[in-house]
Amino acid sequence: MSDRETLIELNDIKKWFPIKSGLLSPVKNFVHAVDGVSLVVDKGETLGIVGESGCGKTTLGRLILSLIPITSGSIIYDGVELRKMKNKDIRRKMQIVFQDPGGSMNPRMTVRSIISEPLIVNGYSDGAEMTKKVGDLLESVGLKRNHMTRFPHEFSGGQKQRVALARALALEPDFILLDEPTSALDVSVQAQVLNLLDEIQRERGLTFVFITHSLNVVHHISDRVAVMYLGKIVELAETDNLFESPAHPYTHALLSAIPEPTVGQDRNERIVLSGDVPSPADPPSGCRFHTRCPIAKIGVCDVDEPELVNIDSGHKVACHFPLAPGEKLPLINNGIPYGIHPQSSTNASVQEP
Amino acid sequence: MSEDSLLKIQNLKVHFDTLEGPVEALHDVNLEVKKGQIMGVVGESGCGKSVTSLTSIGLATCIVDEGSIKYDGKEMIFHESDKNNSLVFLSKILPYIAVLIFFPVGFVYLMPFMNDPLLGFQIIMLGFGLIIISLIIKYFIHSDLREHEKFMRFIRGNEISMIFQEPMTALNPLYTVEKQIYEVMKTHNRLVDSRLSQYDRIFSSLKSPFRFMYNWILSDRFSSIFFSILLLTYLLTSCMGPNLISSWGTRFVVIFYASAEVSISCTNYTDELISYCFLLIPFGILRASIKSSMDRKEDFRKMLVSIPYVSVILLLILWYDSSLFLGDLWHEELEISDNNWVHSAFMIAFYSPIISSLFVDFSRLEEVHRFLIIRSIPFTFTLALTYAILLWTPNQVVGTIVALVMVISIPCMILIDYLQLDPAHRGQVVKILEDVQIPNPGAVITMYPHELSGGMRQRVMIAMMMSCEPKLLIADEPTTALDVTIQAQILHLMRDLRDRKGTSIMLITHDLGVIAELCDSVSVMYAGSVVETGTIEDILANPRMPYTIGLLHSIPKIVHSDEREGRTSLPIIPGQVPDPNTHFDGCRFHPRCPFADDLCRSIRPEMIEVSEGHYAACHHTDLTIISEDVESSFDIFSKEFEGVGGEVIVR
Repeated sequence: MSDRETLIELNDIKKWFPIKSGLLSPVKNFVHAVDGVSLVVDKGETLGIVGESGCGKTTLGRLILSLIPITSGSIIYDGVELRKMKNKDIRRKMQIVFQDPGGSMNPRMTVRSIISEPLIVNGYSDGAEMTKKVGDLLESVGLKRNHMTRFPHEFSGGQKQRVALARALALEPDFILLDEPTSALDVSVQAQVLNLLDEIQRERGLTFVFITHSLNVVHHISDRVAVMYLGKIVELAETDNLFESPAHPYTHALLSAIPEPTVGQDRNERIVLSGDVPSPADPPSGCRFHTRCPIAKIGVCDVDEPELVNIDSGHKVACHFPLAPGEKLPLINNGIPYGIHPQSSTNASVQEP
Repeated sequence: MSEDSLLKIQNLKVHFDTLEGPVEALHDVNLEVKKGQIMGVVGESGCGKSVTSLTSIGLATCIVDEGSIKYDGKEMIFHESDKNNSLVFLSKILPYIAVLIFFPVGFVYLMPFMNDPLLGFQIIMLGFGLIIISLIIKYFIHSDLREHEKFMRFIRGNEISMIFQEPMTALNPLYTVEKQIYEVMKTHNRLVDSRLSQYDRIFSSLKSPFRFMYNWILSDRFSSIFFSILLLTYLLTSCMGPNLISSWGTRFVVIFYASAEVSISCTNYTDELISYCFLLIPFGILRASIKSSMDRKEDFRKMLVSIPYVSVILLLILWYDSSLFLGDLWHEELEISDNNWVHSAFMIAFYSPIISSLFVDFSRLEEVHRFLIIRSIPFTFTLALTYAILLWTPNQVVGTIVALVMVISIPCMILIDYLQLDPAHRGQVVKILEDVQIPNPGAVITMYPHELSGGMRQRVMIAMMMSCEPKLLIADEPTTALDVTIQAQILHLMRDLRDRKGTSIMLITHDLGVIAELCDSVSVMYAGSVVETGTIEDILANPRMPYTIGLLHSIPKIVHSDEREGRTSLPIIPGQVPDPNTHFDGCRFHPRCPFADDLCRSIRPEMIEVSEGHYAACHHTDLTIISEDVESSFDIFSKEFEGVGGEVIVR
């Protein structure tokens, strides 16, 4: 860790979205989309962020790019506080590839004007040189030079995502945020795009933050993985470390829930978590996972909020009872829902706010 | 073999008609779902998985070229017989003759300078006669279609039901969960005898008027009702008091605009309100024309003259609307769906009760629609009466009548929507929700879909589909919109339902992981045809079609670090899924296949039985025995492919 330079540092950043009930009425409550996240992204690495929908991973990505203002906390990019940087500088250094390639491109612009727009905004002159530059960019993402006269709808999903990547690369940024770049793509095309990302990172020494809900993909592409649950990071580790010995029960359940295309003895037994992700507007007390956790203990997990602590070199986990390597969660449910539930009479008093 | 097959699709070939010509969606699909089996259909997007499923329950808008779908031995595709060609032509041409020849001639005779208006009237009536004859002919021509549609209605939801990908769009956001499940059960007569009478229910709903009013004011509908009341007050004052708005035309523009406004905010009644808006336009035109021609001296002859005018205008509007909404009675485009029927029924009911009795085949309407029409009868009847009277009454009185009808009838209709379910029926709904493991179903039934999370919504969808205990469940990507942990719950639930009730499931997905989790047998589809079929072990452990091997190969796998040397590049299938309109003589996979040779390019491979029950459509099944060899040849081929610079779609 120490031998690598830090590119981005997040210090306890929070994003609370206000809930208003009407035009003039006061704020009723807040959605705790990102609630105290501290992270370090090193230069040249790929950090994967996984979590279920609504856990705040996309909001976190947008905060890193300062596309939305932060409620509290600070982001330090390359030694400079992000709030003190000009927007133009931020965009020149950090770029984003969005989930839906069709939705993130203007259907009335040709590929040439899509890719050249960031360059023109940043003072490059439009002309033959630009055409050459756009052509080079297209070739670097595996498209052809003559594609630049086409419109987005003339491309397939994978090719559109390649164009979006070329646009992100146009300003030669140091950092690219990939917000679910392959979740709209088919498996065979997803493989092509992932290979391309890998290749580009190696060629240009880029830093990636890869946001996804697909654990297979994150395992393939990331050096480190952060697992998010309800606006907080619950586990952060090197990829191999995380996938081999997950310490947080949520990570464990998440890993066991991946449907694998294998049959026979290779199959894992699945841990089926009961219930849904609680509402981020009203997060549970204590550990946020305790309502669904198979090993939650009353009096500890629903009262104290666990800190993100080191349990191994570079392996951080936010749990009161982290699992030792090789330890397994109880598999049998016995018909009783996991976790501490407001309905069950024994815990009802604990759940009162 | 054949007796335990529940759904059998054979040689299905369909196309979509687009402005740019036909698009062939399915080329040759053969599928079989056995009783009590979970059958997976897997493929990339655009390979025709969803079209297959929609076609099999008659919901797809595509045109079936050939093939058959047999459910439990019964044919599900309607084949129109050609024997009635001359009658079809006659039924098409008669309305045109009436409109282009009889009506103009009749109108000419009605002109003031002709001396024989009665002859004109007779000619016009003859024109109407022709139109009615053509309708009668159509009624008899389409009798077999009606039978088929009746059969399909019986099948859908009752014998075969479907779970859609996105639960939020599949549920109606304006009705509570219980109402939506109740509707399915009511349609298929699955309800037990009600404990309370209709009047008791109305009474009990009104017992707590404050709660009712509170709910109502909080609901979105309130704003629209508020709107309409405001508008009507305005109208009333303008009609009764001094003429604030002097011309009827201005008044109708105001009404039309405001009603449109109301209908937008009040989607539940869009159909009714839009038809109401349209109703007002001809009324305005009529009123304006008659006022000038009648000159305050009403005699019988002039009234006779006015009737054809009125009827022709009404009929033309009806014809125009029906060409949009009532396709199968007036035109050849047979687009039958729920909304069209409701809409057209309303249209007709509004325009004229007499015409409606001629056009609407009440036996064809389902229970729900009959209910809807009956619900609108007081409203319709009053309007019809208004129509008859208003032509000879002063403006102010007419306005008042219309306004009063609106003020009284719209809240009545809303009240019917707010009626509580019968306790017996509510018990049934709760029991179904318990079956799909929804915690606290008593509270969930009164919730609206937006109050539920994604997994719960999908459970409600499954509950709705299971409410009639169908024999076959078609699940079209049921877990794609869900997260992994919720996905695990839903898959668990579906397997559980199969085990308990013996429901066959046809699971459509692009995720081979889900297939492995749930299915007994799998069909792999590629570009509109099935390329490999077999049991789950056959396909996942011993695939023989190169596409299946490549697909399994290209999924990122989680392997342990000692097996994983650094970060390797993912294996890929080079190239793209072909455009559906590209013509292939041979195998549709050959441009992306490492084994492609002249045989593959020229002759389409048949399904070859490679082992018992395991079929693969490939000429080179002898080369694909060892999957690792195929994978390595894919790797070599993809490098070559990149060298050539493939991956270009030809448009």
